[in-house]
Amino acid sequence: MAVTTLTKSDRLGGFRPNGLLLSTLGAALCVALPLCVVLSFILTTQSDVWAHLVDTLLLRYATNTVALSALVAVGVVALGVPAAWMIAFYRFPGRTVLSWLLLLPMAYPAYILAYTYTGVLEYAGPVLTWMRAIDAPAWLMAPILNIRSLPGAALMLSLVLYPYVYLLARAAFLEQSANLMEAGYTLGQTRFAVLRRIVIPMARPAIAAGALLAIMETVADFGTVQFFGVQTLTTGIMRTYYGFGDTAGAAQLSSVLLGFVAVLVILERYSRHRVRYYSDQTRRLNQAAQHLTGTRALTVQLLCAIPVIFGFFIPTVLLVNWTVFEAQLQSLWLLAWNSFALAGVSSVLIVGVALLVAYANRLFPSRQLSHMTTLIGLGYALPGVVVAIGVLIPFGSMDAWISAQLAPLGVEPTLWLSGSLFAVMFAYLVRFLAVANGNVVSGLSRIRPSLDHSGRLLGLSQGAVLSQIHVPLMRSSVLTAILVCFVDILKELPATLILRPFDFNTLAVRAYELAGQERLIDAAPASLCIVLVGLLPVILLNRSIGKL
Amino acid sequence: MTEHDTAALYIRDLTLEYGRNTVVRDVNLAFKPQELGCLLGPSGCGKSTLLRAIAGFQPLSSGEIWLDSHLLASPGVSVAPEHRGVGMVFQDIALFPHLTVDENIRFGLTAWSAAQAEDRVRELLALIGLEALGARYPHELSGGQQQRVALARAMAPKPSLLLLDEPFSGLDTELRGRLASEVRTILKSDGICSLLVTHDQREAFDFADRIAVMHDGHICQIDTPYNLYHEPENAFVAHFVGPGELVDATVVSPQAVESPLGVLTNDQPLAFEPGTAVKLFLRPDDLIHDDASDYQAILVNKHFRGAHHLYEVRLDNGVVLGCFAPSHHNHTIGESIGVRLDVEHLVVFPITAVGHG
Amino acid sequence: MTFTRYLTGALVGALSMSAMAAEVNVYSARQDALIVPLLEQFEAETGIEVNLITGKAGGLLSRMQSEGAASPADVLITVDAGNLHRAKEAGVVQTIQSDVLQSRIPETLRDPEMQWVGLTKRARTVFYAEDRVDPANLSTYENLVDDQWKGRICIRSSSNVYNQSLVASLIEVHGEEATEEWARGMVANMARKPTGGDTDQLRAVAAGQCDIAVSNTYYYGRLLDSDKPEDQQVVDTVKAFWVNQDDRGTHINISGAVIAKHAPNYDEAIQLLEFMVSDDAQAYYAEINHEFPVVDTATVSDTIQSLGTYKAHDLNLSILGENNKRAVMVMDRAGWQ
Repeated sequence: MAVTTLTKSDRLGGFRPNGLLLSTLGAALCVALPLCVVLSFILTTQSDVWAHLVDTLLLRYATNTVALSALVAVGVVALGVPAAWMIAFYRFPGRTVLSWLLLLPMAYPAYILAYTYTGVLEYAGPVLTWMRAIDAPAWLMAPILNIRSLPGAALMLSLVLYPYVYLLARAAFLEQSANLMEAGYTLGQTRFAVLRRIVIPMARPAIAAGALLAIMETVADFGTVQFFGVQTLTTGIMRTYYGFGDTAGAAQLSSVLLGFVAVLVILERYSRHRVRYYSDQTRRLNQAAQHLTGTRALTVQLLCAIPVIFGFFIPTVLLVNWTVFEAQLQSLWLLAWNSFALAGVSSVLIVGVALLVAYANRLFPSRQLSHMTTLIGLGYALPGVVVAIGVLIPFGSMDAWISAQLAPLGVEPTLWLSGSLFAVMFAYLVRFLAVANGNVVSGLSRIRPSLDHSGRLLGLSQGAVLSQIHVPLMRSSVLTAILVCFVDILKELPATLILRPFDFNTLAVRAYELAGQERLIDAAPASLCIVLVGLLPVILLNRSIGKL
Repeated sequence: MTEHDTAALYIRDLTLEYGRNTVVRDVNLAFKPQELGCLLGPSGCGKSTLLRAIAGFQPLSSGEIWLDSHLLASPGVSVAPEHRGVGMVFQDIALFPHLTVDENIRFGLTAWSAAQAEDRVRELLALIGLEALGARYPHELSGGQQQRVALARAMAPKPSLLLLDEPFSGLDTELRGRLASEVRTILKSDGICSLLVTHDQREAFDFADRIAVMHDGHICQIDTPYNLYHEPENAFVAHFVGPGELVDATVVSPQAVESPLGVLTNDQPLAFEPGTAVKLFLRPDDLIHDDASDYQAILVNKHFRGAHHLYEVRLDNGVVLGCFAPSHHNHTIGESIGVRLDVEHLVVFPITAVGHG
Repeated sequence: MTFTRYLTGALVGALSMSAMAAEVNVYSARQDALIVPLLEQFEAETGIEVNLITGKAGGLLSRMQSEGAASPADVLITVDAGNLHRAKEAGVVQTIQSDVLQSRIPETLRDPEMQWVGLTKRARTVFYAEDRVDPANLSTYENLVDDQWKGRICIRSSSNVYNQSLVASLIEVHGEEATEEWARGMVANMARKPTGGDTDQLRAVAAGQCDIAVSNTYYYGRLLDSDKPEDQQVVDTVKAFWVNQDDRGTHINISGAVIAKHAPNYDEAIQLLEFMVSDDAQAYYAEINHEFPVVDTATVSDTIQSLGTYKAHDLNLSILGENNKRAVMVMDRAGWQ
């Protein structure tokens, strides 16, 4: 066996160091590009449309965005925390099944839930027809008629976003040492006092982190608010860009939205930080959990089932029913192929980049690198609308430049970048690299450096360490990362809508268009397709969390 | 029943079960007010379960638990943990991470006036020697400091009984011994009847007035540390509270036995007829290295302990015994050295009962 | 276009586009169900292949703008004169040189400079609950801001181009200030926050949420044609009223088309548009969506005839486009969501 001296370049199994670092830099620049483009418009001369917006609509956009966020925050906490509480602290028949059923609404994009509920709750729909038939009181029918409103949008978003809070709160509850609760009892505190003074305060950072994630998704949402006619910053950006045809105004609105997102990101980082510091207790709660039977068990079962029933079962039954019996079935094959192929190729690319970034961080840890990685993590907070605008503007200019350069050579002007799937994939990369990165890094962190070292000491080359140790160990987290990206891309609406090339439709776009034409039932097949595929990572997520 | 009336903690015929497993069987225990008690036993002997039953986290299968002449628990009766007046210090310390030291100690003082509570917190901080650290959060304290805060928190509401569930097991050895006697001092000064659970005999000796040795769900013996060490009632206790070996011996007179190292006389009459074959329990401090002795043994191993050596010597009949020797007597392994027994009180077990250990 | 074809096509880009046989690329803001049959008929008759992309009017236009000279678009089919005008303003169109189109399409329904042409006509008027509104109290758009209608009107949002064009026509007639006043009056009389499309407004009247709805005629036509009982219930209780019959006439609008400035297939594009104003195509086009043909000689469907005849506002529709931005701002200022 050759004597190995550990030099800097040697630590890098098989890769060229500069390549790794450069790809991380490149990825960070990709994420920074739309951000910088959008922010650069703050400095440009203000358009008359912008002045008009400031005078008339900006306040409404902002207040609606804030009000929607606040309602969603209340909604996800109200749905997620009690469910997490019951799953964590009670034992009752069906608990295991419910604990993962509660994750299912994650498979739904909020806009599809909105289409589905509007389809069934419209005036002529079965619910109101029945209510009229039994002469239901007007005050009961009014909120149903007004589902297309800000509270309605908040409800739809809460129903699909509460699993964030549920997951984090459940984990926080489970990680709390049973001894802490017992300590509370031995100090003369009642069950309620222990809940109020120990359990909830300790889970609060986790609950806050979950709610903040939900709010980030809320401010980025376009499909739901657009469909419900709620004027938020995202719909404002779309309206300014398309309605007024004003790019500068749209970019300026985008930077307002970014300001909002920035606050959320800071709050989220802060609460995350506190979550980490709490979760150092080990003993599980099984002994302290209360066993329920009879009516009390039934009550808890019903309470846990409510979010699942409204967030998953009712809409799914409706979608299946419409798809099978009512929808004018247009061929979904082409749309599905387009969606799956685009999402598949994009997610493999994104995870590839994420791997490069993760290995760069592992092999050459440095402060600059970790800053770049943090920047990459911000991509997920960027609303799709903002990413699309931020990609379209520079790509359009680049196309013009490239065409001008190639004109003398007799090459016809072409949309090399902006009118191509490249632009769409680029936007996906910006938006979802953080998701892939999170999965890959958590996989990589499980391969302790000592494994690499023992591999080398046992005579493996650097390449062999990679292929014989890392590849098999990383396989599942890489596949998970690809799957999660795949589904996120499948559900993504606004960026796809803005950037997709000529004649290129996806399932999400089709569902959106049909819904826009008030053909909600015909949108069901495409929607159902998205939801069913969206279930895969939810199932995977559940398996990775494991049995409770 | 006098014990019932004078005891702070009184446990009668207690049996505890997990499903079909009987974890604790027919336990009887009594500790006086202000007494520091200890449940000592190997892991899995049921001592922690017994503690949890006293605290109210474990239902009873049979028996009764009384505290200050109030019935805490019997089958069908269970005072809620928060109403028992029982404090507890946990193995994992279990300080509330979101509260400061002050707030942790004050946590159980909800029924007290603000001024009284403040005084009590100050008093306890002084007692545990952490007056300056009241505003810190638990993660900003060392392990020993955290454990002292946990103790203060449990003591704060002046419980009738304080339970300590292996509170020192997460700490390093040196700190463990120091803290055990420190805690003893603190509890003695506050006069709280306490019960420590531990598997560490040194910790138990440092802490307790009286120790109950538990084995396999039973209490084997309840006594002072001194008596446990020197007058164990069975081989298990003898082995568990300190090193030692059994050797064959024969009773030769009402007060003497013949051992491989000669005839030994007890300080009181033995409970065996002359001629009975018995087992004699010998600790390393019973066997003395003496070059002048008639009895020789082969030195098979030695442990240097600084002030003295612990020798392992093999007798002619093959039995290996421990033996303390002065530090400067540095014999080499394999050498034959002189040994003699120096025992005032003989620990003698009948042969049939030895298997019990 | 499929993903695979796109990936291979992307490499050669526009080259592959122009290398193909006779074809025409259509960007359409109309639902494909409304025009695909017509385009298929055109393909069958001429052998010219039609590539179609559908999308929102604004989105398609932005796309043509950013595509610039590289745009593969030949024809943009869109609804509303406002959108057609916006395409003209954006500089993505070129003159439509066709005597056939010029002679068959009435002057008010095409751009004076032949930058766009109308293909179908629709009216925007008032619908009322028969049991709660006496049509004698209805007269004009202007009348809708009267106090008697407080809390009784349903109309969709200001983001909708039909409303923008309606307001643009009012700006032309009354001026910006008076129109803003009118818009405020409308906001004050709304029964609910603007939500949903025109059909939703009609259904809301049937549901009793409001007594009056403003809607394009073809939405009512669709309900008339529907065999669903709930739709029949709507047309049974909600009736059309032709507004402004005693003065300038009811506000009308068009769906229409432009030819892209950089159209790679100009001749085929002209052929397509000429096909679309043929009597048969007009009849079909008008029939399928319950609109009115722009060509007088085309036959009109029974459903459309049932709505009765009306006098249309005789305004050159290019005005609607010119006033569009002002119209949006007027509504924004008036608080019309």
